[in-house]
Amino acid sequence: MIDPTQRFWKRFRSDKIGLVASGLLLVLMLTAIVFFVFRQLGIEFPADPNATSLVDKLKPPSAAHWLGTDNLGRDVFTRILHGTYVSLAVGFIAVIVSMTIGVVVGAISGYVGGWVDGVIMRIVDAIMCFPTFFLILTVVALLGPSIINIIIVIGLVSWTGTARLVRAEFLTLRESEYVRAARTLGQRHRRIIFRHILPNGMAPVFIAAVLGVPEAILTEAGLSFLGIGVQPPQSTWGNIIADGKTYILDAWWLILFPGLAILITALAFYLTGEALRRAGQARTTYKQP
Amino acid sequence: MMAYIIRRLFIAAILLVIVSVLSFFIMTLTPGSPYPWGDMNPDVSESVKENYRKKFHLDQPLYKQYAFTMRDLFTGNLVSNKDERPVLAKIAERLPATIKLNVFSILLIYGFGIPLGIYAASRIGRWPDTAVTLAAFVFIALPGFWISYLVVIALVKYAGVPLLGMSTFGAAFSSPVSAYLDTVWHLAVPATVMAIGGIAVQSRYIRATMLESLGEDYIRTARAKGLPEEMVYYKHALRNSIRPVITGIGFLLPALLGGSVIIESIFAYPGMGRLGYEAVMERDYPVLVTLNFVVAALVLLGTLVADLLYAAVDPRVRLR
Repeated sequence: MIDPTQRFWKRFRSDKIGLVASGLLLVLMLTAIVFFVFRQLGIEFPADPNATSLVDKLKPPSAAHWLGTDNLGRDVFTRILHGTYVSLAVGFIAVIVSMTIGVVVGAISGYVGGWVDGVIMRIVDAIMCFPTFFLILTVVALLGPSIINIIIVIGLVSWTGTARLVRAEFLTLRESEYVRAARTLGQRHRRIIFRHILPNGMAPVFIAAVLGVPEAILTEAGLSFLGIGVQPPQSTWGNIIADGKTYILDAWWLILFPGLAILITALAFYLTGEALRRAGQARTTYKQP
Repeated sequence: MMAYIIRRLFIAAILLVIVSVLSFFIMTLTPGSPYPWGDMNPDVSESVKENYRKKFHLDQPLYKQYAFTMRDLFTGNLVSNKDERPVLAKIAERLPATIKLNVFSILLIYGFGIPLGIYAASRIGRWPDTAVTLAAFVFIALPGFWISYLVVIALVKYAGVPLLGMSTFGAAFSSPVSAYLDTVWHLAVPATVMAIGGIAVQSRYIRATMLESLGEDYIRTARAKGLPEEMVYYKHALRNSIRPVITGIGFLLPALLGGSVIIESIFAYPGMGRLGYEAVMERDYPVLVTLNFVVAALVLLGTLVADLLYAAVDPRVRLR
C-alpha cells in the first residue's frame, strides 16, 4: 500500500514540464513579492517605473533599456517587473473570492438537495448564460475601474464552475459509507460538511483554483487593455500594451514584451495545474496496442 | 419528445427571467449617472433632467422600471437612451456581422480542434502528443488582444495587407469575385484569432474523451477482430467521444461573444461585441439589457438544439 500523498509527489516530481512550470511560478511569485516590497519601501530598483524622460522616449531595446522605453521615456522592463504583483494579486485574490463563493454555494446545493438545490442550480445556469467577459466589463465600467473592483467583480462572476464541481462532489460523497457512518453517529451537519466531505472533495477544487488564476490574469489584462483596468500611473501588463497601441507600427517592443509576460505567466499556471491534475489522477497511463 | 421540448422551453423561460432581472439590477444598482450628459453638467437645467427621467421611466420605483423595460423589449419599443433609436434595430444591424464571425470561428474550432485532439490521443505519451499538448496550452494562455496586435503589425506593416473593417475601405475591385474574397479575408483574420483558444480547448476535450473511450472493452474487441486502426479511431472511439463536443456548442457562444468585444474593437469589425462595448461606455442600459437577453436566449436555444442533436446521434439517449 503506497501512501496517496507520496505517490502524488513521486508522480509530480517525474513530470518535467510540470516541474519547469511550477519553478517558473515560484520565480514569478518571488518577483512579485520583491518588487511589491521595493515599491512600498520606495526602493527604485532597477529604476523608478514611473520616471519619465522625454529625451529617451520610444527607444528600442538597448543596453541601457533592455526592453526599450515607452512614449514618456519610461523603462519598459522596470514597468513590466512592477506589473507582476498587480497581475498575480488580481489572479490569486479573485480566485480566492470565487472559490469561497463556489465552495459554499456548491456545498449547500449538494448537501441540502431538494428544492434548494433546484433553485441554486437554476441561478447558476442563468449566470452561465451571460457572456462572462462582457458582464465583467459592464460592471467594472459602471462601478469605476480600480484594482479592488476588478478583483471583486472577477471573483463574483466566475464562481459558477466551482459551485457545480463542489455540488457534484457533495452529491457523490453524501452517499458514501463514511458520511453515513458519521450521520449515524449523530454528528452535526457542520462537522460532516467541514470535517468529512470537504477535505475529500477538495482536490478537483484546488486544481480548478490553479487553472482559475491565469483566467483572472487574462481578464484583468483584457480590461486594462480596454482602458478600464488598473489606472495609471500604476503599470500593468495590460495597460503597457494599451498605451503602446498608439505607436503600434513604430514601437513593437511596447506590444511584444508585456504580452510575453502575460503569456508566460498564464502558461506556467496552466501547465502546473495540468501537472497537478495528472499526478492526482487514478489512471495515468493508457496502454498503446 | 414534444413533452421534453416543452419542458425545456419552460425552464428556458424561467432562466431568461432570471437573466433579465440580474442584468437589469446589476446595471441600475451600480452607482453612476443615468444621464447621457453626466450629473454635473451646468448647461442642463433641472426641467430637462425631469423630462428625461419621465421619458425613460427613471422617476418610477425599480420594479416598475423593470416592468416597463420588459414590456418595451417585447413590444419592440425599447429605445436606446443614447440616440433614441429602437434597440432591436441597432442589434439587428450588427447581428449578421457577429453571426458570420462566430460561425466562422466555430467552424475553425471544430475543424481544427477535433482532428488535433484525435491525433494527440492516438500518439499518447509520445512526442507528438506532448507537442500538441504544449501548443494547446500556449494557445489557451495567449491573450487575444496581444496576438491580434501582433497579427496586425505583421500583416499591415510587413506584408502591407489591409485587414481592418469588414472590407477594404475605398478600394475599387475589378470583379465581384475579388470584392467578395476581400470580405472573406476581412472576416477570416479576426475569426482565426478568436478561434485560437477554442481550438486548443476543444483539442484537449477530444483528447481526454478519446482516451477514455480507447480504454473501453469494445475498442479491444474491435482491435481483436482485426479492424484497421482508422476504423477503430474514427468509427468506434470517436463516435463515443463526440458527446461533450455537441453539448459544449451552446456554451461556446457566450465565450466567443465575450471574446469578440476585444477582437472586434481591434479589427474595427462592426459586430455585437463592439455594440456592447460602446453601450457600456455610454451607459446605454436598454441596449445592455437587451444584449444580455438576446445572448442568453441564443445560448439556451443552442444548448437545447445541442441536446436534441445529441439524442439524434446517440440512440441510447432518451429525452424525458
